[in-house]
Amino acid sequence: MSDDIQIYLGIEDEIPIIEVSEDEFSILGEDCNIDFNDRVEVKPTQDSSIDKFKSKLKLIYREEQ
Amino acid sequence: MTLHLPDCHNIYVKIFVVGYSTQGESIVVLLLDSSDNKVLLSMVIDSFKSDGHNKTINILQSCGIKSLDYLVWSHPDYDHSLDIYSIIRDYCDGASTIILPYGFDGKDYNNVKLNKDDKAIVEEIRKTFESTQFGYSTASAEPMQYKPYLQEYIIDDLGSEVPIELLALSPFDKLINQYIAGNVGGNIPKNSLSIVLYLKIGEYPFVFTSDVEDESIEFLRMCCFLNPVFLKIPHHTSNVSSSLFYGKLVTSEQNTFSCTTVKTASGLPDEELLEKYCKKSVHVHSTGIMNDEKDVCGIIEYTYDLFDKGEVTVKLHGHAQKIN
Repeated sequence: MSDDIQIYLGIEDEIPIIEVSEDEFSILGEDCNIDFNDRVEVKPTQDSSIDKFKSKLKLIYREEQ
Repeated sequence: MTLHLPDCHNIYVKIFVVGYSTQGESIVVLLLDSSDNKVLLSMVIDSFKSDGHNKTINILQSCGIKSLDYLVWSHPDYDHSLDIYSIIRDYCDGASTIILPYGFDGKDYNNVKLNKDDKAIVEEIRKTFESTQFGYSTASAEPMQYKPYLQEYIIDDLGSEVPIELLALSPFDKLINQYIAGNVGGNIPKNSLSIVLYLKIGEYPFVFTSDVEDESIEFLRMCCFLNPVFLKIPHHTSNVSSSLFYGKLVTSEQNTFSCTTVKTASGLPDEELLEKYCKKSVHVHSTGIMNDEKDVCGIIEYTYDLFDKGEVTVKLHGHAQKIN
C-alpha cells in the first residue's frame, strides 16, 4: 500500500484508522492502490461543506417581520 | 423515491403551523430547492376551516402545490378534520400517499367515540374516498418501533447524499386492539389514534405530535424526544393528558424550536407547562388566540436553511405570537 493515500470521508477532528472492507475495496481499491483488509487513515475532507450533511449545526435564529 | 439535485446545499424546509382563533390546526411541510424554488416534497397534516377560510388551501395555492405527496389525517377529532375532504378531493391524486390512523376509516365498526360534529365530518371524508377511489394507508407501530413511509437519499451532482426519512411512531395497534377487544372498556378515545410523525432530513429531526396522550407517549420511540429542531408540542400543550412528553424531551443541543396551537374551550395551552417548554427550547411560538384585529387564525412560518447558512427564520402571521 502506498504511503500517500488519503481517503476523505471523515468528519473534522476525527481521523480514525479503518480497515478496508470488501465494499470499500471494490469502490476504492483500484484507484487508490489499496488492498482488501489494508488499514488506512481516514482524514477529514478539505471541503468542510460536506460535514454539513453528516452532522448537525447549531441553528441561528432569525425573525422576519 | 431518490431525488437528484444540482447541489444539496440548496435544500430548505418550510413549515407552516396554522392555528385558528379558538380551535383547529393544520400543518404544511414543504421540502424545497432554493435554486429554483421547486417543491421536492409536500405534506399536509390535518385541516380546519373557520369563517369560510381554509388557510391550508391558501398556503398550497400560494406555493403552487397542485398535488400533495403526503396527506396525513392524524385522528378523527373535529379540530383536526374540518374540510380535510376538500384537500383530499382537490390536492391529492392517485400518487399521493394518504395516511389515516390504524383501525380507522370512518366505518361504524371502527368503534371510535365520535360526537355529532365529528360524525358529519367523518361521513364526508368517507364519501370523498368513495368518489375519488383514492387508496389510503393506515399508520400503526409496535411499542418503541415505527412504520416507515419514506427512507431515501437526496443525491446531488457534487457527490453529496442527504438521507431523508418519514416515520409514523404511533398509534400503537396493540393499544387500539385492546379497546377493540373490549379489554380496556368503552369506545376507542380519538386521541389514542393520534399519528406522531418523525421527519428527519440529514441529521435534523422534525417531530409532529398531533394530540398524542400519555397512554401512547410512554411507548414512543426515543428518537421522538432527542433534540428535535422542530417540535409541535402535543395536544395544544395539555398538562393533564400529555405531560409525559415534556419529561422525556431532551434538548441538550439547544437547537429545538417548539410551537403550540390553542384550544380555548379546554384552557389550552396550559401556561405552566408552556413555560417549562420555554426552558427546553430556543424559542417557543404559539398560533395564539383572537386579537383586536379579528384575525381568523395565526400562522407560524418556519424556514429551515439547514445546509447553507444553518439558519431558522420565523415569520408570524395573524395572531401568532412568540412566547419566549
